[in-house]
Amino acid sequence: MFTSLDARGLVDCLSQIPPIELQAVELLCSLPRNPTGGWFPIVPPECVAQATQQLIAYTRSCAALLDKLKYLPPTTLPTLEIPEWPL
Amino acid sequence: MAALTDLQHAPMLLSTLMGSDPRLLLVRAVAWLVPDTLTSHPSDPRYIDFDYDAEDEFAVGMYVCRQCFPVVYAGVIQLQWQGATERTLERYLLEGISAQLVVPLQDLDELRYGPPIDFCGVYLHLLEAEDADNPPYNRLLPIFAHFGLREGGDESADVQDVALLTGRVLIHSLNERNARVYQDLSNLLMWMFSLSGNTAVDYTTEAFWENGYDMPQWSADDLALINDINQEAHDLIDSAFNALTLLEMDTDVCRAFTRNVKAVSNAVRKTLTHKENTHARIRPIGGDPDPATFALYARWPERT
Repeated sequence: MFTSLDARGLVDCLSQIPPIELQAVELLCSLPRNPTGGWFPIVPPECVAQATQQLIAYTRSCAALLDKLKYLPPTTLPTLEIPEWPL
Repeated sequence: MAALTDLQHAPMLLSTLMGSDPRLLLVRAVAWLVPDTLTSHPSDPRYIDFDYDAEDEFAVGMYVCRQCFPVVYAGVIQLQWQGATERTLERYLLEGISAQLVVPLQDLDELRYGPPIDFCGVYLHLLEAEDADNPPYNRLLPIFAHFGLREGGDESADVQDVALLTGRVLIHSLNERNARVYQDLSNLLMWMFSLSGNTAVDYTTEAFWENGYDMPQWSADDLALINDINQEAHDLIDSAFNALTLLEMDTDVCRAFTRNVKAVSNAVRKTLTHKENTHARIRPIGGDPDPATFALYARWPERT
């Protein structure tokens, strides 16, 4: 049963979260370097649709998480410096 | 000269930089596939509670697609990147959304009211004069006449009570039969007396609004529910039209129907009139009489 979590535990917990693999980002990474621009890859429509669905779901879950975080009471972490996780 | 060379290399440099940072990559992915996310902020009320009336048709369409039709949304975004005209985008939205609805949209403006419900309730008091000569009313009015009801629906409450209970009795007796034609006839009566339990079949748009029901929302659950309701309503109305044709073509069934309406109406009327008579053979116990009590008055010819 969960009872408490200290700052160190929180850091360990967050650092274990694997990076999300978004199809849209993978498609962008696969785009060859183009000296004349070309910001977005040209891929089949079904591929775009899949990537869009995933990105919509991701942005939606991020928004839902943000909404939940809004109601958490603020906690001061004076000894901790984690620029990537400014909670 | 050096500045010009730098400028020529700028796109490559920017592209490399944007590809090297995961946050910039994510922003680029969002700009590519869901750009309208960048124009709304979590503190923006629209982000939390979209105001269908405050936005134009296209914005409403895009919001609805993001909620329920992501594939259509993706298609519109790609068309936008290709420089498609506003008219093309709106047509793509309309056709893309309609393809996934049982009741297609006529106009993007309809999106403001939630997934469309194909209301087809029959309310005699709401019948407009011009409807009288149009199907289905010109075919339904003669059948209502058997029950003592006519255009305008201004009969006394007693007449309407007898008609309604007669309808329920006949539906009960028809549902005990397996023949397809009797299921059709049952569906016809359920439609005429708003007894189907299907929102689209039992209500007109006005009646639905007047009852103060909540309109469905553009969510996956509501959309699936409304599509099911509309599909069931279409099946039931198709079946009811088969019954109308049956009554016009099959003289035996038509004769039995007329006789049954008369016999059941008489029995129901006597019971309702003698509600207070303690010597009456059939007396309702607490509320409306049970339709099954009168079903014995209805006899139908055998059909397969």
